[in-house]
Amino acid sequence: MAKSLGQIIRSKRLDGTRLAVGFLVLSVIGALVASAIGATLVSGLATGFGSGFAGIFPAAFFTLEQAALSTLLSAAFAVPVALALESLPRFAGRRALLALFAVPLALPAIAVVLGLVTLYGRNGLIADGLAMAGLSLRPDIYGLTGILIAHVFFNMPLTVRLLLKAFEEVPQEQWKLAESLGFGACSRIRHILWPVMRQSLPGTGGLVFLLCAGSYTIILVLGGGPSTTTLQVAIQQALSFDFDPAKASLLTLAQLALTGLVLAVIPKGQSLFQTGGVSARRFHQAQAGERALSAVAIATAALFVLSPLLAIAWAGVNADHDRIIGSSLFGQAMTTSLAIAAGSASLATVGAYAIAAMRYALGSNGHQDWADAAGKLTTALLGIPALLLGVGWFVLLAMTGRPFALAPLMIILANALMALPFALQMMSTAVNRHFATDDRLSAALGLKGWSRFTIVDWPVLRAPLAGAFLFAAALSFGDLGVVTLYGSDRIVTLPSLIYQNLGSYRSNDAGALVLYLTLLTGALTLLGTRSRSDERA
Amino acid sequence: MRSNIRRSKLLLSVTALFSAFASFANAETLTVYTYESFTSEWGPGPKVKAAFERDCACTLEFVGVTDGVALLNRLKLEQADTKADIVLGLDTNLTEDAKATGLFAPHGMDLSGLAVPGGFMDDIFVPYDFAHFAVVYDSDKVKNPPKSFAELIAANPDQKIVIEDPRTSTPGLGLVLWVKSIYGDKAADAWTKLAPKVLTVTPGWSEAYSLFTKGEAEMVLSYTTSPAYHMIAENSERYQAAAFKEGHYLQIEVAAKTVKGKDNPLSDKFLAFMVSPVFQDIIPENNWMFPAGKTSTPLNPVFDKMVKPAKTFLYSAAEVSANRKAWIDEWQKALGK
Repeated sequence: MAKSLGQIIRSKRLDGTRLAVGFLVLSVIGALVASAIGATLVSGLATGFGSGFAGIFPAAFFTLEQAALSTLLSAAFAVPVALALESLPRFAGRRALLALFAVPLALPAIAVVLGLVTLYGRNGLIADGLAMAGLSLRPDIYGLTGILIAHVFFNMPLTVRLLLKAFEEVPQEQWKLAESLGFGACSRIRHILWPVMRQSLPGTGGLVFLLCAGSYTIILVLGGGPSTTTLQVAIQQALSFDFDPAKASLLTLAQLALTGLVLAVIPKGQSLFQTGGVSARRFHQAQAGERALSAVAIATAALFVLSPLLAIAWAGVNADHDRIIGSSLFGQAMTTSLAIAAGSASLATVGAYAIAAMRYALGSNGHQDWADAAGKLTTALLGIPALLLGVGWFVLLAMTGRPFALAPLMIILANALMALPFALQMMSTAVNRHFATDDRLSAALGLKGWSRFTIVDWPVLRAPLAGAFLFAAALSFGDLGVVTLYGSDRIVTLPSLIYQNLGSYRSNDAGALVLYLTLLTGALTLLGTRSRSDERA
Repeated sequence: MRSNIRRSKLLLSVTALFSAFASFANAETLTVYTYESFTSEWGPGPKVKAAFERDCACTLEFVGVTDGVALLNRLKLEQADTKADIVLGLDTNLTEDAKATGLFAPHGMDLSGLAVPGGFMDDIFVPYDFAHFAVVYDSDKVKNPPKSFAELIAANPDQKIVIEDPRTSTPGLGLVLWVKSIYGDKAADAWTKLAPKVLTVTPGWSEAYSLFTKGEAEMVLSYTTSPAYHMIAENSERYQAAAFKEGHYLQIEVAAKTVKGKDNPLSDKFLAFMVSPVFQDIIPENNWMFPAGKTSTPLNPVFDKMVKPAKTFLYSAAEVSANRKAWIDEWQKALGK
């Protein structure tokens, strides 16, 4: 039976605390976002809103169209791949493959575009292959095709990783039961994995949808021309030549409303509060046919994701590495990027943990609707351009007279907000299961507060929290974010250094930097998965 | 232990990050806002800083933002609170908007010694370099480069060009103004005809030029000076600019002192230094543009091989400011068909 929030707080102190802390975190986030948007809107009231909202409807339509198609394609590709990876839990290179699956989202969009055109472009390998085969056909990816390929490249691996994360939380009793009942592949999927997917896919799809709706460089570069224009392009325009932050805010609100509508119709994640231990150990052996199918799915996905990454790496191999790595600017960019990533990933992880705990408290007390709403609100953060947050906060800080003094903090905050939805999705299932399992035990042992966290929560949640942290760090590491707005010769990050090189004819050096970014992100993620398997060993 | 060291290193760098931003008001400091490629280690910035500081016993502090547009936007955000004494890197398409902010002060200099095509003169903005926009092509693939805009429009649609978006980039706006200069009322028609040759429209110059050097397109909108980079830095003649009979549109980069910088004696000193040979010598092979003033030695002979436009187009800043939105709308409608 659903209890009122007051009742929860009175009857269960722990859930009450979770509600209060989670609410506090959401309020702070809400205040940060609202202050940014509010500040720009108020500045617009003073100076008048720019005209020229013409063309907004086609842009809005195309925003939704490409985002919906990208999301559906990513999910359709990711589901078989995730199932395949689930059915083949131990093959050589699996961990490395999954680590590389974390890389695309961490790469600057322009690097990905260049990697993709190396393969699919007019002058790409496929075009060369066709020419060698004597075909005069030349692939033309500029337009919706290119946009979709790029978005699936970013988001299929993300969806796979998030699905596998959810699969890992299936209680071992279920696997044992399935084994004793002699389940085949189909029954396993239907009775064990499908319910998990039903719980996880709506949230994952929401993330992907918002990411694609907010996509900018990809849309412009691969879109082929102004007919494929999105709201995000209009927002960037309003923050560029037109410099009309108020208009950018209005457009952002329109984009949020549109994407909000879509998020609202996404079916509710059916929450499973499973209890009991989980184990990476599976109790079934896949049949030959299933193994073959799985191998095909995995090989296809690996080829799709790895070949552009290889193309990116190839473009960076032949650079003068000693000179680049030896330059003081590189050292500075590396340190700054790592510091920003560490700061924003910490904030994102702590924030996501508080929200996950609040959602558990809501859901386990009969308020699943509210838990869903809290999740969607967090996801919606992705609909807000970081640049707009930067401008909004700037307008506010300008009142203090020294807005740029706080630039590093603003950069960290903006990156943290962008990473938070991912961190939440990464840890939600684990947090739900852990609380459902261990709350009673902790209560019986009389463990509370910090001691409960260190004795009960930390040992179990260390792995998922570390995973979320590293994923958030990787995202933040590759993000150009608001650095460009607050830019100065003193704040140079790896992505801004890449753009500086590209902007000065130095595409070779830029290629090398992208290669380092790729390797570093892969290594960071591998580190994250290692801590996880240690845990399970 | 090791992780402790690592942690304290991280902490140190975070602290350094913050303290780097705690600025100190120093009378001996001149703050110059500019764009990033100017301040990057291979740009003119470091050399300019060293040369200026040699004579002035002061500190020249650069603050770099993405590009000229971001430069003006940052100033609009900061208003009177800006730290900038000098803003360096606006182009003539932005000066009207920049003037309207009321944040700039007249330079009071005699600029008759400068040699900018069209003889640009302004009481606030001082030009320091220039180049014309040009279609740069890959000579390995384009054997008969277009000799005019008309030929480019009529060319085989298999030969593609990458252009920049005028809504977000200076070269993109430059191309819109170039087409308008040549075709006037028939600009929309020209865009519609050019559309099949346009491979794609990128948000900025970097993306367009990267696609071009990757071999995705045979041509790109860039500058007459682009081939000089490849000839000098890469010893390659592969990339060339096409000379167009109708003429080329000009980009002039300018600097000005702010109202705040008026009170800093170093500001005038810097503007005078900027048009002197010491500064101008640094420009060609670091900023890859033509110097606006006299250099102490002749330019690298490579620059003599660059396209010399038969005619120079340049709208006044006021015309650009008044028409920019309408002309971009026209571009968007014609190209989006």
